[in-house]
Amino acid sequence: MIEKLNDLYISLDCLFQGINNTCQECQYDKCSGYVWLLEEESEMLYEKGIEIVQINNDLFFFNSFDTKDGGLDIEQFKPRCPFWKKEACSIYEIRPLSCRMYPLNFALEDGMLKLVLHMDCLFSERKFQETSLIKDSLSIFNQIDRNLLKSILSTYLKVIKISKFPKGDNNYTVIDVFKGDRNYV
Amino acid sequence: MSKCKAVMDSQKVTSLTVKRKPKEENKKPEKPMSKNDK
Repeated sequence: MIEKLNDLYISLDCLFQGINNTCQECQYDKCSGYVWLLEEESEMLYEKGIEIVQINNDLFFFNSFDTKDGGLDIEQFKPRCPFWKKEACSIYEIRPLSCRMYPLNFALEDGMLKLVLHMDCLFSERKFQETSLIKDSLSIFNQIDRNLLKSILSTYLKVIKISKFPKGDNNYTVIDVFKGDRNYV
Repeated sequence: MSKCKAVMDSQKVTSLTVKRKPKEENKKPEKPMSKNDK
């Protein structure tokens, strides 16, 4: 059972071991789009001096946004992560869950929360045919403690409720549906 | 990493605050931003 966020970090880092080498060859965008944080991540990162954007009191993000008219441009498409420097993540050891999960992500479709694999990623393209990637991803998410999973999915749901996709949805394939007692919609 | 194509819907953002830990020698209050400041 994965009960602590740090244990989930370790599991995901093992799952995506070697992804950085693939990223060096990848022609898709790197590390862009706004980055949501769990509340406990936002507290930890804030303490380490990282600037946090708090939205609607209970949502937290990296400050990836450019300024516009004296404020933040929150409708900017795919802002570059402020920690992507010299072709590498400058906060790699403390990067948050949404970064560690990639190319895994969540999606809300037809009122159902789903675990998805983004396909605009060279690692996904190469590994998708290997059943072990899907199998190991499912194994990790099936082992997450109920309260931790609820915290993650409820945060994602709040994020998606203030989001829109003016340039179309993400390119992904569904690998699991959170249903039954794992349905937090 | 993240490459999500979402942007925020400004109609649904009711408050926005940039939080930056003050340096010990120069503490400043957090900077709340109204919706109109976005």
